[in-house]
Formats: sequence, C-alpha cells, structure tokens
Amino acid sequence: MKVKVAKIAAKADEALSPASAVWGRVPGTRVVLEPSPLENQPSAYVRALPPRHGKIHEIEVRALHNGESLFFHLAWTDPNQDTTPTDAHPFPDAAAVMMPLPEAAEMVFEGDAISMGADNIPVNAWLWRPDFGEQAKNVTARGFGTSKRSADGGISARSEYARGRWAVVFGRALKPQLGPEESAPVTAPGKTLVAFAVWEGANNERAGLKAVSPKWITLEVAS
Amino acid sequence: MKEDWKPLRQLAMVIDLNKCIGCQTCTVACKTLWTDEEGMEHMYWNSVNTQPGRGTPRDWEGMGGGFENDVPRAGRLPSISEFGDVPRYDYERVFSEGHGEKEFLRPKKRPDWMFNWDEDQGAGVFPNSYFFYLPRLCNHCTYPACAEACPIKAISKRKEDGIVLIDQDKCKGYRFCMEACPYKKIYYNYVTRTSQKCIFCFPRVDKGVAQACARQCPGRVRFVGYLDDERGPIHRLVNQWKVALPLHPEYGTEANIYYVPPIGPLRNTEDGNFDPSQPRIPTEYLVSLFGANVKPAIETLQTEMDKRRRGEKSELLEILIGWRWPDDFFSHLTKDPVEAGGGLS
Repeated sequence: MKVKVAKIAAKADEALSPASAVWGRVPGTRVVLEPSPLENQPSAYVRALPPRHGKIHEIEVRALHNGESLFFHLAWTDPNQDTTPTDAHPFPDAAAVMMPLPEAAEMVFEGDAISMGADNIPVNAWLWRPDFGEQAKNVTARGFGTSKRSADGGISARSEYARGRWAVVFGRALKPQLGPEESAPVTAPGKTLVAFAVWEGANNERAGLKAVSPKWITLEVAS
Repeated sequence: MKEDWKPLRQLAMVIDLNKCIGCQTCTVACKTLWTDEEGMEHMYWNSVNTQPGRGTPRDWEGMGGGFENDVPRAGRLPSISEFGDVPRYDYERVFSEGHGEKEFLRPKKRPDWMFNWDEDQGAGVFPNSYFFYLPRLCNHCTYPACAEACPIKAISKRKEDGIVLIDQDKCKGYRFCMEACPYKKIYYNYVTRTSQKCIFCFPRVDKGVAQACARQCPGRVRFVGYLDDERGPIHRLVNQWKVALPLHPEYGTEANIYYVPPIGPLRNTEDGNFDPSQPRIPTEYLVSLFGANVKPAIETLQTEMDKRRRGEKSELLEILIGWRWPDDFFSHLTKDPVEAGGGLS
C-alpha cells in the first residue's frame, strides 16, 4: 500500500484548511483500520478489558508538500463530535500520523506498525486532539506503552467537523525543528513509511484503545 | 505483579462507625484543604454517606473494578452527575442587582442528585428503622488496582508508608484508574485534565501531622498509624482484637481503611420495650459490606461492652474510647499542623 505526497505550490494556510480547494486536487487513499490488539498492552487492566474499541473502520488520507512543509489530510466518519472533556466521559476524539525515526529506518520495512516501534525501532507520531488547539503534539515511542509527548515539534493541526465527518490537516516542515531522535525528517523526493491511528472518544477510546492501520504504508514523496 | 506493590510499612486508618455522627467535618476539612479549585467542585476525596444508601458516586458498588481471582475486573467511569450535581447560584442577581427582596437564592438548575442526597433515609420499618454513617476515602490499597491499570505508570505506592499517589505531571487523563478503582474514589479534573484523589495528606504525614479528616473529627472516630506498630491502635484493633475490617474485602485490593462495624441501638417491640433477640442492623447487611469476619468482630465488641457494663475492665474499649487526644489516636502523627509549619491546615 502506498500514499503519494504530491508537490503542490500551496500556501501553508491554504493547505492547513481542511475544506480548502487545494485538497480537491489530491487523490484520496482509503486506509482500513483495525482495533489495536490488547495483549501487548502494558497494563494488566487494559489487557483484560473486553475488546469494544476500534469503532472507526477506515479513513481517507491525502498528502501534499509545497517544497517546505508536508501536510496530511485525514477524513473519517464519526457520528459523535467529542471535543473538550468536561466530565469523565466522553473522551476527546483524536488522530495520529506515525513515521519511523531515522535510527529505525532500515529495520521497519518488514515489520508492522501496530506496536508503535520497538526498543531498536524508535518512531515519531503527530497527535491531534480537538482540545489541543491548533498545535499537534510530537510523540516518540519505542514499543507498546513507551510513548512520550515531547516539546513543541512545530506541528500545526486544523480540524473541521461537518455532516458527521471529521477532517483534520497536519502540517510540519519537511526538515523538522527537533532533532532526529524526536522528529522524523522527510525528504522530497524520497520515501518513508507512515501509519495512522484514530480514537473515537464517545466509545471511551484513549491511549492503547484505538483503531490503527496495522501495517506500515509506503509514503512516496514527489520531487 | 500484585506482590510488587507491597510497601515496607503500611500507614492505615481505623474508623469507628459507632462513634460517627455524620457531621461531615472530615469532608469539609478535606474539601477546604485540597479540593477547592475550579475543576474539583464535584470532588469529595473524603465523603460520608448514610448506609444503607446509594453512596457516592451513586450506586458505586455496581460499577466494577478491583480484582476477581487476582485478574483485574473491568469497571466503568462514574460521571460528575453520579458523584452529585454541583449547583450554581445566581449570587449577582440576588445580592448585587437589587432582586433580593423578591427572589431568594436557589440553584440555577434544580439538581436531581447531589452528594449525600439520601442522607438519613436508611432502611427498616418503624420502630426498627436503622441507618449509620460510612465515611469513605481512598483506601491506599496494598494492591492498588488503580496503579496496576495505569498504562503510563503515573501512579505509585510509597515504599515507606504505602500511600498511593497520582503523579500530576505524568498523568495524561486516560482514566483507567477511575475504572479500575473498585471503591470509585478517583475523580477526573476537567481543568487540569488529570485524575485526582485523596493523597492521605502526605505533606502533613511527612511532618508528623495526622490527616485533616482524622484530626478535625469532633467525634474522634478515626485512628491512624502503621499497621505493624504493635503498640499503636491500628495494629491492636485490626490484628490483635480483629474488630476493624476493610470495606468490601472481596474487591481483592486489600484496603487499608478499616472500620469498626456499627452495633446500632436495640430493637424495639410494638409496645415500646427492648427486643435484644436480634440486632437492629441486620447482620447480613453488615456481612455484605465487611465480609463474614464482621460476625466475630461484633461478638467481640459485644462481649467487651458487656464486661464494662458489669464494671469490669476492657482493654478493647479503652482503645476505642481513647482517653488522651491526640496521643491515643494518631500514633507518631500527633504534631499540631501550625507547630509543624505553614500550609498544612
């Protein structure tokens, strides 16, 4: 499976707008998601939960770059718009884009994405939540239960919810402001891997309870 | 593994339900000290409810969590409305805008459930209706289901005294702890977006001061100390006399708040005489709360009370009465909070 990153001379503001016409010029790729497996979760409580998570079954992914920044456009159907938490339930909806960090690059092509990396396979994720505002969190991980949110990674995110559908755009400089231990650089032209995750807050999805694209997807960046 | 949680020593509390008058001074002492900020309005780290009753949060005993044969049992998240609505009042309109003559202060929205909503309702039929008060706080369990459940290890149990704490810098608000706590004593703070709970007043404990709920209690119903301190009231009541029992031992977490079960007043007959043939508070009800060990505990209490009625000495009743405050109550935690330094009261 492949997601192509087209080169389009779009302004950052334009690309970051989920409803912008620029996204109409980019073909979408349907990515099937699966409930994350619970057997490797670090918490015995979570491992023992009856599996009711992974409510979002597919997303539509688009990607472009403008020579400076890389943008992902994720869209999916979710009948419940869960934004800022005001009570124990529901949780906010969330979405993430994950790429391997340079140290891992050669080791992950055969592996699957579901574990969020491993000891020797560090990964970088961009995490959007409606309550985070217009900044996504920069996450690093080396396997189940190791995810860390690091300092501002210069990742913008804008979202729109309309007619029962979320559309979220992530944007970050191809050459990130954080070092290669924390933030995955992307070169154009070039190739790397990508994976996606979505959380349905109304279904109490958070942390390891999510829907994921289980295998790494090739990200082909046009020149 | 469960055993990994075991501390070197465990600080514990005994609450004598025969002495509790349900005045909520403990609740207020805790509330004003720890949970008076925005996002914490619905939190009562210490709560007192009438039993039998639906408790706080409402019907918490049916919400799951804890362990079943050492396997974590799924639980559900209590909502703010189940803990109890927090009414807002239109102070401005009544006090400042000149409507005070015509309108009185009342909640903007009529609440349909609040903390302590079913106070003093209890159960039973006249002339043998009954109730008692049950103060509850985090049980600082020997096997904390909350800490086991946290996927990012934001909850720790102090090795030196077994106090269970949620690290507010690590917590990401995933709330698995809230689900896993069988006592439903963890709250979600929607401002900090973290889970919060009773900290057993550790800043006071660290300076030799007893917990606010214990020290402020006008009825002196609470004892504090190490479970293994053979000279202290906790060890003597829990291990030696076996009259103090954990709530719902079947939850499998080994709770460290222990209760001296309530004896209740004598039953009355229709014509107003005493009927000592059976207890006013049904024993089965107490068993449902404290397990089968409540039966010998009540027998011991009654035997010792009978001794005193005959004018004999009872070591157990001497402990439960506690003649010297604070020494007979708080073991090594007898310091006055003001003497121990600021910010503790």
